[in-house]
Amino acid sequence: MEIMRLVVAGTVGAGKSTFIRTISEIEAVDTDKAATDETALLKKKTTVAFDFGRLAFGPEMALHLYGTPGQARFDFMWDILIRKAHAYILLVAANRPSEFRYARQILQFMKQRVRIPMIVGLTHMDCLEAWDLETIKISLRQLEGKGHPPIITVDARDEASVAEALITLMQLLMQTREAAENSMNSP
Amino acid sequence: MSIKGTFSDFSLPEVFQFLEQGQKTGLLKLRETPDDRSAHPIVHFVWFYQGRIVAAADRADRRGLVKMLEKRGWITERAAEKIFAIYSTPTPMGLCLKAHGLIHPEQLHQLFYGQVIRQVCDLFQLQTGQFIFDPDANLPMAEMTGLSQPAVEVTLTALRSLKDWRALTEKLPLPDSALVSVTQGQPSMKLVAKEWQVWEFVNGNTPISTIAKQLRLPVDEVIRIAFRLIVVNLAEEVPVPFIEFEPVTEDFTLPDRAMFVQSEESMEESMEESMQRTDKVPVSQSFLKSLVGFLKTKV
Repeated sequence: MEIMRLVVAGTVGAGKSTFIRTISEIEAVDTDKAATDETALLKKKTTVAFDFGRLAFGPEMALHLYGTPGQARFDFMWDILIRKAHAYILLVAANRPSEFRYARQILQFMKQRVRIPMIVGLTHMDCLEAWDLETIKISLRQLEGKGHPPIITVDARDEASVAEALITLMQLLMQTREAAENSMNSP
Repeated sequence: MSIKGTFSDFSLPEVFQFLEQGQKTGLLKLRETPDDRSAHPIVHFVWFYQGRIVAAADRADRRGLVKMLEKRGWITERAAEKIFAIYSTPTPMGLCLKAHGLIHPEQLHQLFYGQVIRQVCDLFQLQTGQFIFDPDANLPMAEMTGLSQPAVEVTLTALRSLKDWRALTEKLPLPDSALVSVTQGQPSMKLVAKEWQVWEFVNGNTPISTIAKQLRLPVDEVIRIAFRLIVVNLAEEVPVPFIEFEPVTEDFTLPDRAMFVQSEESMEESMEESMQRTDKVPVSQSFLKSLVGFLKTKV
């Protein structure tokens, strides 16, 4: 069985749980437990809660989706989730500029720990209060150029939109792999 | 499109930060919410040209600069406006007066400092209010000295002299956070000694409280220095690692950092079991292709 772990990170109100619920074939689990060796040691100190969803697309293939803990502060669960992830999507609510700074912190947090493919998904772009794409890019310090992730618009409630976001991320994975293989094969 | 929000969304230094990063030109209007709700809100104006601050005023009639000149006894309002009217092409008031020998370059700098730096310092103390940036606003030649400064440099200067930090309390980094550099190499802007000292600890691992101990400075002071480094695009606040991890040094494009996937896992394996696994092997290309194919059926 091949399983890929995808982390859905995001700012408050960006739609992480909805994103997972929309695409998951099982009812997304909102858990307050994570009985891992690492968490067991730390569990006494805090409550762990994150969303989990799954998408099986073959007899031996499945995608697992993990939502980062809902509170607006990082904790050890973030470290555990991201270290085990193969890729992640950062969801940012375009209508909540007060959260952009936190989104930047998430990007730095991830960058510091892993180098895995990622994209930024802007949600709530249809809201009146939503900031435009260019300004959000500036606020997130993600202007066009090398090293910056693709930024897409996503409606977390819409299955087609979520699927498109995942396709973008998977295509990034494939391009990355091809580039790595080409560089290995070149003299 | 206008950029708008409240001071609870963004602190003013942060607004300046992204206006500079976006190299914006236009007018930033700040509507201060008065303590007395029956009173009229006070409006402040800051003009930008390609991310640089060119003028600031607390009045809309474009007479702020001439009033400053008159107050200092350098020239009367009437004389200044007479000279200004001579110019058929848009020219900043300060440059018009300088060209006629009515004020010296040093006076021009003093005017800019008084008009921009001091006003911005006062604006940083506004606790509640709204901002709106109008990219279509014309530059106010009558309010301009002809000098300008990058917005983050104005921020740095203003924050260094800021005494009352209450308006920024919610935006300050936490004592248990660390700082990580977001600039290539060393800072190009001029930092003061204490800022350099804190900069030495911008490694993503050292909590601000520890930096304070090491430097024997009050934690509050280091927090404020850290905030300065953040809003001038030198550093970012990050949480210190909660569990031990190997710092990332390679790019994910390298084969051993390529995508990984769990193998030999049963369909029934629970989320907890999945999370317990630590071994990772590269994902197969067929896995990715199958997943993309499957997702396309949902689009």
